[in-house]
Amino acid sequence: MDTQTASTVQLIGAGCFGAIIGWYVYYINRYRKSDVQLSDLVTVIGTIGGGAVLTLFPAKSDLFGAYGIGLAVGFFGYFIVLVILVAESQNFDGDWFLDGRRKMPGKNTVIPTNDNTGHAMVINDDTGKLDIH
Amino acid sequence: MHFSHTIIGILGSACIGFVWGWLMGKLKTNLHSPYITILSVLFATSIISAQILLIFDWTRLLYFYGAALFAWFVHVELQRLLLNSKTVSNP
Repeated sequence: MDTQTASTVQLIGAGCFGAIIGWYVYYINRYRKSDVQLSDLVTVIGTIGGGAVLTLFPAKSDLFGAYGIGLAVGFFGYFIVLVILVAESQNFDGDWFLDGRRKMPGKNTVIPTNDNTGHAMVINDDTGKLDIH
Repeated sequence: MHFSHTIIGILGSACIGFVWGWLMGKLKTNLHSPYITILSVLFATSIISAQILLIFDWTRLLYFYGAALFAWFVHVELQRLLLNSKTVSNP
């Protein structure tokens, strides 16, 4: 078989590139709001092995292999970090992986909003309901 | 062919299979159009297979398919176990 050799630095670079892509693929998949559609699959195909990947990594070289290893490390690394965080947290358990269920935040707990308005959701001590301040 | 070349190629193909199989394990078939879902998955899998065939060779495809099947099975089983434990703990 006609093969091309790659330097160690190239292999590490391809692996790290794959790790970032893998981490991001899990992230995108985790925050999916609806059922998977054909367009989602096309996006994943483009991410995992699109034209850019084919251009970057020549055929019969180790680089695509290193990229694949990095992809799995990043992808499952994200999952393992999630498992550790859920196991350590008092507010989540294994059910979170199924339907996202979690405990209601306790009183005097502030949940900052991400709309750059400086508002925050605060648990009302008297009513126990969420207020926006 | 160097030993390291073989190992990296096999591991790389298998790792892509693990990721793909895990992603497929999360697919919930749309009851209104299961055929479209199945066709989409087959189409997507065939594209990735073609790419592995293009970059490596057909032997790496076996590792890809094997790893994808394994990851899909593990993911589906994990979800089933979680669902069962949820049913028991939260009737």
